[in-house]
Amino acid sequence: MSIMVSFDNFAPRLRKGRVIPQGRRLIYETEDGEKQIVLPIEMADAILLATGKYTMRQIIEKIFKLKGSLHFRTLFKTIHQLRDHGFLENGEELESHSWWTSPYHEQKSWTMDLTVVRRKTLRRPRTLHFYFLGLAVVALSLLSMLDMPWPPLSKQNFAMNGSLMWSVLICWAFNSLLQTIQSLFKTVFQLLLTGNMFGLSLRIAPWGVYLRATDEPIFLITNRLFLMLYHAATLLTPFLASWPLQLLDSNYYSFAIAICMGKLMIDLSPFTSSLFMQTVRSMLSLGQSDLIAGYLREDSLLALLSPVDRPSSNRRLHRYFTIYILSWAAFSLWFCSIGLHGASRQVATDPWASLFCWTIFCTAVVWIAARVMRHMSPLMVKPMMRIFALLRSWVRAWRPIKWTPEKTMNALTELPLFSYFSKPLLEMILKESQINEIRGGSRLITQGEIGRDLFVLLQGTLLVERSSFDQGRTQLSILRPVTIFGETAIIEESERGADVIARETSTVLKIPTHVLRFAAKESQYVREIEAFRNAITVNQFFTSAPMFKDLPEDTVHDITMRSSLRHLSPNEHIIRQGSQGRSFFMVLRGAVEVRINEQPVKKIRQGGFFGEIALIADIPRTASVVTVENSVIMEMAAVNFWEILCQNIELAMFIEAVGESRLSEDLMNNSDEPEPSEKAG
Amino acid sequence: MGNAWWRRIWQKRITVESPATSAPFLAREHGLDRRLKARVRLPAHNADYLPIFKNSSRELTVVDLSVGGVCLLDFQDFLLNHLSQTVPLTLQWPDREEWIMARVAGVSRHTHRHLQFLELSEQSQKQIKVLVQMGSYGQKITQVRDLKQSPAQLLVTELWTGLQGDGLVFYDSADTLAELTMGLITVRFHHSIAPQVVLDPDRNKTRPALNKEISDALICLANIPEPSGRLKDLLLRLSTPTQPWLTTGSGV
Repeated sequence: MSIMVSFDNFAPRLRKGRVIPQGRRLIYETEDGEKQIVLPIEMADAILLATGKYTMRQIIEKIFKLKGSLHFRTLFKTIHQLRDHGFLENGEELESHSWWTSPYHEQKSWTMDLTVVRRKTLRRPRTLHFYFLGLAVVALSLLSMLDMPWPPLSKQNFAMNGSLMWSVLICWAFNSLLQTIQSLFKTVFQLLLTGNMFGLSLRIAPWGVYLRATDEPIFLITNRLFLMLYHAATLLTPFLASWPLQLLDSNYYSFAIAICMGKLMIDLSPFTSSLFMQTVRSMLSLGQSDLIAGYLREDSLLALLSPVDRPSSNRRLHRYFTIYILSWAAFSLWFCSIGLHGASRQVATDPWASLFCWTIFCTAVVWIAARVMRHMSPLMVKPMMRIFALLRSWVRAWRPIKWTPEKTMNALTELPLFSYFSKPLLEMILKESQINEIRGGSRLITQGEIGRDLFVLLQGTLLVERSSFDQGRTQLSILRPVTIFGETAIIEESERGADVIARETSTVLKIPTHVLRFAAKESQYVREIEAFRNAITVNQFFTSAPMFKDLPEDTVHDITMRSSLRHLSPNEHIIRQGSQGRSFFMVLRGAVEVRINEQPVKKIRQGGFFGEIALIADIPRTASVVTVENSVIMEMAAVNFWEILCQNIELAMFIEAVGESRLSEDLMNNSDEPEPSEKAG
Repeated sequence: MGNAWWRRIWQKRITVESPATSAPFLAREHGLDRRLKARVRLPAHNADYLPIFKNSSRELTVVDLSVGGVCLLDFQDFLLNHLSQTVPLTLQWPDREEWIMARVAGVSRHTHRHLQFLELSEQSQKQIKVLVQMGSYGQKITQVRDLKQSPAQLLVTELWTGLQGDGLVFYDSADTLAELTMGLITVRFHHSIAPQVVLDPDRNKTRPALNKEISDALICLANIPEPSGRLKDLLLRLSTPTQPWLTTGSGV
């Protein structure tokens, strides 16, 4: 059994094949010519380095050294695409990532595929033939629908010949037949359209035994008109194939139509990442997102919520989702009512058949619910997390943790800062400190009061808020355990700069500053009190900033070791628009203002970061950034930034996504500005 | 009605490429590259659409160009050597001429004069920005190293790729020499006929490239770092005035 490794440590080994560049894309074809995949051309370097010798981390480093930049998300998706389509010899070693869903990498324990026909090619594509054949199929299918009985299946003709089992068998047989006919048409269309057909396989599944054609040649098509015609023709083929049944038996025809409708509903599902759905998305979306459709299999529902998609395209997709869900609900209810009516009628005469039908319907309901849940789950994460946090706080309020000295000591040593202290020093600190429990809504620190203690949040959540004349009350950050705060008191007994309020019942350790000053002087490592305060500031940032709080400890250590702190006064320029990007910045304290063409566009507060766009896009600074209050900024040089990104693909993709979202917002905010060519420079 | 969803069937093509929401793509395609003094090299070729700098009706070779200034080759010391001194220049575009003043900002290798524009019309600035954009496509293109131990075999003679779908491919073919993709345009260079713009890669549909497109391609090629022998040959070939399609005023 192979060992699963994370994306960073995965060393991809490609199956032998050929790289064929074609404009903005490249085609990778296996040596035997049986498989093809279309990828962005800039992935050529990564493909040639996929020898099994280098891990993804090393590949990224090599590409970065060569090109000075790379798009992490494209690389991430390319490697997963190669794995899902069976182009990697060691693909099974790559751990499934929560960010990746693919229709090609599902566990197919319910199905078995046997190859029937291998790759076939025509001398050249015959697009004109495809065009007329496609149009003819669509026209005839629509014509056949005119004869369709309505409703296609009634309660009377579902239980054919009085036997429900027979009806179920008919459904199974028709499904197999119609799927096979659809696959054969698909194959013909693919051959005419692309000159390629990558094989037919016999699929044995509980819902039928049928021939199945792959969609691979369709990736080669870029013409949307042909793609739409291909999809329309293949989706409607089962209706055309059912037409002759009308002459034989109207009951059979009713069954076939019911199956066709069921199949159509599944094919039109916006919850899938099917090629059809991608084409629909590319038509309904505007502008840039159009270009993604051919390659990147974005989850449709997630894409709908993406801040990058424009609102108008969102509305159209939203309408599609609503119409689909309503139609699906109506169709399911109608179909289930017919089936259940038939099943309940037979309880007395044939209990086994009735049980069988009930089982099928229940399975169908569970399958649909599971599918919807799978796609809805990303939407549910946040509300569920909130409910979980609420429940946890209730449980804690009801049964708080007893903070024994050992437990407190363990909690303190979790903080890298306290790990510098020896055990006797820590014991001394604990002896002089006090554990306080604060009820939700109570104020722990009041703005303006003189600070004489430092605090460690052991349990619960705290809000840091500041009141000012011009801005009123603003929330600066949320503190989560285990974190240190109130560090300004270490150097001098100065006024507190903000209020700290408990959001829920919380436990804090109150350490008198004189004890800490003594410990800091005694400590072998922390000799300088200023360095000690800086360390607390950094620690607080990495435990509280929403974007960085989940980073592994060694990454945090890497970032802190390779960065420098800057204490800045208000109105200081940190970066200037148009200058060369040399650093990445994190806001540890205070706030900065982003200005484009000297116009303020947004503020980035404590816990945020900036300066990533120039580094990830390898362009000069797109905006100026100026401090608006006393701030502490952590600066990391571009080389170190890239080294850390290369080692943490998830962090890289996250920073990249934030940068892209900021650029998109910028574009939307400035849509009434002059033409792009005028803006440049 | 221009954006009606059903019209998009004919309007746009689905292309396979990196995400169009990516930072480099957004920055580049929407002019967010707010650089002020980006420099690009110009090819040693007097194709249409490229500016010509003259001093007292003597034509000077341009090494590189930006909105802020230009580096000119001056083998015969026509221009001043002293820093901060002003030089009158004639900037000749295909459709007009402009008289400008420039300041000597630096002299290097005896022959290179770095001049800073003191006044440049808005129209010229816009035209130079377009050239800079084309050059910036080329500056990001690097050669793909064909590894011997790689299971993937490169089926072309040379492959060069940029960050966002730009690329240059050299073919070992009797007909096609190379294919350059910059932005959303693909220009195909042939051994015997004029460069062609690829309209439909699926059906191999092309049309002759316009002079403007050839000039853009030349600037893009001239700015590719560390050019190989083949790339240098291609540039030389395109810059040679004896090309039949050049002497007949492009292949249009």
